[in-house]
Amino acid sequence: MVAGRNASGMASELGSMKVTEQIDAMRALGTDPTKKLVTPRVVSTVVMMFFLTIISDLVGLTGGWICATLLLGLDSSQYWSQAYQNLVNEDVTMGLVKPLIFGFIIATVGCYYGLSTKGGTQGVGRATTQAVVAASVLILVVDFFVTRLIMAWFGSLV
Amino acid sequence: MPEASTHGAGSNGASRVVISFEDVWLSFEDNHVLRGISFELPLGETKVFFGIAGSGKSTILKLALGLMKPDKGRITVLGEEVSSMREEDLFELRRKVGMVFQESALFDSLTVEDNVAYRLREEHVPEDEIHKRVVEALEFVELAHTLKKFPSELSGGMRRRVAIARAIITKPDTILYDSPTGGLDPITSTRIIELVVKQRDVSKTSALLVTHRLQDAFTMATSYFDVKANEMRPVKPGDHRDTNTSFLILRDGKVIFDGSGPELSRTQDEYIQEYIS
Ligand SMILES: Nc1ncnc2c1ncn2[C@@H]1O[C@H](COP(=O)(O)OP(=O)(O)O)[C@@H](O)[C@H]1O
Ligand SMILES: [Mg+2]
Repeated sequence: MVAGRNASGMASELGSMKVTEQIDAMRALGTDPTKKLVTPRVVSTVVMMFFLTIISDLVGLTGGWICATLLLGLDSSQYWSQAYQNLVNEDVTMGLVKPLIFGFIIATVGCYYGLSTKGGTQGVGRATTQAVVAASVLILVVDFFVTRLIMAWFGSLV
Repeated sequence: MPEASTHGAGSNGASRVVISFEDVWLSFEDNHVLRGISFELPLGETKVFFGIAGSGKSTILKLALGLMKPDKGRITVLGEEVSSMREEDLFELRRKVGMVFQESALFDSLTVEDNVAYRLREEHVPEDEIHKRVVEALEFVELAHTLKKFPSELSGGMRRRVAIARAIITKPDTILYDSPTGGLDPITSTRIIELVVKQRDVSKTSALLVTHRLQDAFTMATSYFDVKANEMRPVKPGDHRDTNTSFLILRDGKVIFDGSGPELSRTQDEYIQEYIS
């Protein structure tokens, strides 16, 4: 979901800058669009994804806690200790490494398609769609390998 | 010293060359846009480019800034060979050349002030000096009241003038104007040409100017900027004032004319005669 929103947002923003010659203007004014536009987007997406994951995990846990205590009448301390016990290192690492990688993929793919936009307003639409598709596919593929990798790594530790 | 600005010798061999194209070729797939373009821009001269839409005028300006690379040929700007330079090295050179894009290419997300200030911010000039120079540049184009506006709130002519202010803020010695009067009404066009003439005569810049309005070129060749009166004046007959303006006509990827105004009016070429009539 984030892949779709962010990658398409960046692709269409940079894409319209490209077709209105704002990217060329930036280069003509003596600055590097990669440094000026791509780097900050990649950094902020990675950071944002990281904290977004933490926040959404916390919200999830709190939601679980509300359900558990209010609806199921479980003991509050029991819920937290159970949740904590079920949490293994693997989950934490996986949960925090992945958003970093995905953030990086989303931003670089979005910026790449944005900056390579060609052919007017239609080109912007095309770049946006391509960015969403590419980011989603890439994330699925990378997700598979990263999961395997982290599992293998933890497996070898046990 | 009005005499100081009149060098009757014109563009003889002694004058330094600012921009030179030597046998430049460029194709986009099957579209052979430039097929052996050669010309030189002497110091202090403004060369006006003519050609129908799609004849490669914008492409030539972009090549001169190294925004694109030619397939073949040599392009030299301010003594550096742009056609073989790496992007990182080009940034330094580009700071010495101002460019006004065909559609202005202002940054949508920045105010007029920030657009014009862009280059100075990049060079880390102190803020109070930036503000002073931005106001000065905007006064030059008579838009000092639009400081806090966004490009989307301006008319086409105003955007073009902001683009000129952004290009001249660092007082570059060389400016590339891509159709600065394109799509504008005659009155606004004349004001913009007046700014170009002012830049040529007051700041003594060298320039390439693309236009499809013959009127613009004619005005440039026959007017000078009177600093005292702060306006453009026609050169009186008999007054041997050099307006430092030359013409170049493109056709089918080649230069079919490159010379002065009088030479242009004397030409026998049918295509050119039709073009300028
Ligand atoms: N980036 C590009 N990719 C493909 N074709 C281009 C590109 N830029 C220009 N062209 C083509 O090159 C030709 C010349 O374009 P241009 O220099 O903009 O013409 P002009 O400014 O004289 O109207 C046109 O046919 C245009 O379609
Ligand atoms: Mg053009």
